[in-house]
Amino acid sequence: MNSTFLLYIVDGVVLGLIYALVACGYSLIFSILRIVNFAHGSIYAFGALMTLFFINQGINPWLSVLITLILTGMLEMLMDKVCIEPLRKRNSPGVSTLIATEGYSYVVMNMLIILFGSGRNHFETFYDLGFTINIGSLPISSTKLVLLAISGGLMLLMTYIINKTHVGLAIRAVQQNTTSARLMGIKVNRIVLGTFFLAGATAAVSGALVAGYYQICYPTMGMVMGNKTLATALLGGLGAMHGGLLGGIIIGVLECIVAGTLGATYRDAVSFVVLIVILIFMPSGLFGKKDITKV
Amino acid sequence: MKLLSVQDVNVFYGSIHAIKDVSLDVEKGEIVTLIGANGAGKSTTMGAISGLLPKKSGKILFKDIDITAKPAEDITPLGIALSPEGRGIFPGLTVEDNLRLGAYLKKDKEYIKRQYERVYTMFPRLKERYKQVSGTLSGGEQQMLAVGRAIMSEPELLMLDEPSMGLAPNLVDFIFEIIVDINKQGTSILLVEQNANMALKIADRGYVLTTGSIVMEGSGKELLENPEIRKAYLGE
Amino acid sequence: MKKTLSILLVLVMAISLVACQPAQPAAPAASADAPAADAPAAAPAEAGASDTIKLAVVGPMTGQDAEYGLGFRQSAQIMADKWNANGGCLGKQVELVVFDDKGAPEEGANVAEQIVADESIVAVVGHFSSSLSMAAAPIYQEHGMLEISPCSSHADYTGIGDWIWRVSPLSADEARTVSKFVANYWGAKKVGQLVMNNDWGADIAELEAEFLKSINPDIEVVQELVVEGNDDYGPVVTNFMAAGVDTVICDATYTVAAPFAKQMRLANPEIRVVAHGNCQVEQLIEVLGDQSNNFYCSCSWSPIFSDEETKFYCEKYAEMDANDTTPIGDFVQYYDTVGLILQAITNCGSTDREAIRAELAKIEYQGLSGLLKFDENRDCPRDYGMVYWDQAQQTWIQNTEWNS
Repeated sequence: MNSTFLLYIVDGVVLGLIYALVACGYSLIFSILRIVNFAHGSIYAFGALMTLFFINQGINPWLSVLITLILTGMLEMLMDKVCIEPLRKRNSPGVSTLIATEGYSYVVMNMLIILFGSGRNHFETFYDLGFTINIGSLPISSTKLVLLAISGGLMLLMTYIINKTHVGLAIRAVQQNTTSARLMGIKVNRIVLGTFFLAGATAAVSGALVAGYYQICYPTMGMVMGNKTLATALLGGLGAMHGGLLGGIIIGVLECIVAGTLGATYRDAVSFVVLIVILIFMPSGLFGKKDITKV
Repeated sequence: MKLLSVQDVNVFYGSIHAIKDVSLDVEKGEIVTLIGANGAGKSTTMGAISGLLPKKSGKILFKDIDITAKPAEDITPLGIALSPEGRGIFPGLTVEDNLRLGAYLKKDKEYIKRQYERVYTMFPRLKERYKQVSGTLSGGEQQMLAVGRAIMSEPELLMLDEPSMGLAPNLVDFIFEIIVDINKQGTSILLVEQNANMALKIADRGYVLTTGSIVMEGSGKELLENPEIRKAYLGE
Repeated sequence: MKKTLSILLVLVMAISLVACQPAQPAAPAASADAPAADAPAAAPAEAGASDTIKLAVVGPMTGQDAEYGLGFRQSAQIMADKWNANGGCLGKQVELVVFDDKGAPEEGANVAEQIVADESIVAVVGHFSSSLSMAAAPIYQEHGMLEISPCSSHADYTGIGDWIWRVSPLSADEARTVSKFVANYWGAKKVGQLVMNNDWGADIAELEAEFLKSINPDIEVVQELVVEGNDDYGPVVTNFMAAGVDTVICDATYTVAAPFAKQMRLANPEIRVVAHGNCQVEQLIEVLGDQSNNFYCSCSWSPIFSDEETKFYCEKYAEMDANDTTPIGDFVQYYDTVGLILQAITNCGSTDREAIRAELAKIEYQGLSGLLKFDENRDCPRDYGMVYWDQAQQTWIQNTEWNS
């Protein structure tokens, strides 16, 4: 395998990790509420731009990410309180909620345009450790390594939270049977809010990471990313985080190979072609659970 | 003081009047059963008491605490547990995780361990399958799980909605033996059942629900021997 | 109560939809005020009996290119103000009517319809991008309205009709400048082209590839097509590296060129990068940071020029602009176009469009962006120069340095 091809793969894996991390936001919300959160892309952009804002005030980048994480979590919880919970209470059809999240998406994006302007903004990489290692003939920058480490670490952390903690047990219970969860004494609305916070937090961190990686951020940066990561989440099986990881890597690598060989104009199509093909053969995605029927 | 006092409760589904001025009580230590045909409103009554359904009017008191307006998640900590119709287990979680959720609000590890032991002693089959994903259990095992989960928090009042539904006859006997056993251990029981025969046999008192209204009440024995009841519900 | 609320909501939505028309404050309201013309719409009319001379200024006032739109509007206003301060044109005050084409071709045609319906408008300064100017042109041509685009560089634009003119140099001019620079000044051997997948990008890339070959048949050209919306240029960079290119020409706007250049220079810090006039913007420097050093751009004008009029323009622009932006060649072309039209009106002594058109064919106007003289195709071909940045300061290279 020649080194050009290997470089495509390396780029693809890094891209794939990014997609997987952002896709977590979709999976989290879908598994708990069975809705797709169309505002996720805009919230991701919010995370990047707010981090930049704090960095420009002279605050340490990592601290900026932390503050933004909390703010973005709150922004996402606000969406639940304002758009989604009221509809849930009235047993509105799922479509209403989808449209509501779409609306919230526009509000957030336009608010960003008003606050930050529509142009591109420079975002200095705050995790460039300055070295490059060589695997064979492939140069891998420290930026890539840190990105991989943080994305991977975050996904591991979330998997741990969901699968090994008390609160994670409650989240899984709410995902599988909301009524019974209430009977167990679980405050479902709080769990839902908490899940939204988590989704917002991952969006913020991934936004800051990606902005730092490409050194650029702008209000509409979530649009294409939002669609692709939704495809990633669907590919992995909405609700399965490790599925998102595999899905992300598949899409990321294929995208880079296609961009390199067939031309970069085709790269956006890749995620959707992959999605369509997989869904034809495996409708619940790679790891999605088909509903377990009770006896 | 009655343990549970339901007074003139009305529940609507949209414009459908599902239960009308329903009143019943459970005294401490009793097994009380609510019988009736399909669609009579038995599960609606359970839903109203457990806090899952809003009530248009009426009052529900538990240990003299007014729980009428409380949501389900605030009622459970007071000492009521419900094993719902259709079992309501968490199908993707293991047996053990399901049980753990039954005592979700309790944090004491020793307590939890004791409760696991209690349930596993009562239901050895659950012990065998404690790591099994509960969605793959058989119907009977899932019912055991639902009951076991409900008693994990040592509730003062255990409510059971159609525990015998879909079970093979020997399992039905087994479940009713367990119910009696739990009651003997000090838990009061409110039991909703279609299987009027078994229910009335173990009940101290019973109520009969027809199209949303309580039409008769009495001791288990009285109702069992009542000719109308026998004709309507006991197949004679 | 619910019904009342719903009706109220629908009313609110309907009102806000109507109220949120794209036009700027001065815009379509003007057509309502215009005195009814006697002449039939199709014939070139005496532009109304108003006591101002009205020019339409069209560009992307909202949307993705809104920053450009603002620059165009402000620059046009500086020229109008300059004339008004000196007694106006033919004794009348110059009034600019601003229209927003949102950068969307569908909208371009809409705006054109609005403009031709206003008999008092003498000429159109616009549109900005070739796709829009070309979408609107048939409507202007049909109604005998002068369309003079300050910035559209597509070869087919002026061919649409004899009411369609342009002040901007052609894509061919820009392509020739860049190709000569790359081949002669730099002596490049392997050239990569980063091509934005739209009319302009594809067109100019083709032209450059041809020019390069005609200057030096041994030059190898590698093209990579990209679309906007993705900031990941990994595979493109990999391909250029694998091909061993020593120079990259960015046939794209700064939103694409800037992140690409960064990533390219991370892989090869020595690589030479050149772009076009649309990258002369400040945001490029902001986005590139240190990487902006030795970033080259072809352009028709630079704010570092030392002539009186440039200084005047830059001063006025700074006064007017709330965002502290540095003006670019494209802005200046709007400034020049307004000046050119007003001069033409003065020369022929009338606001009759036929007369103005006849004058345009003869006029020679010294604009900031060069000597403006239309050829028989209604184009203003001229040579570009080159700037490069060093520590965020522009340095100009006159094209005599590489023109063979």
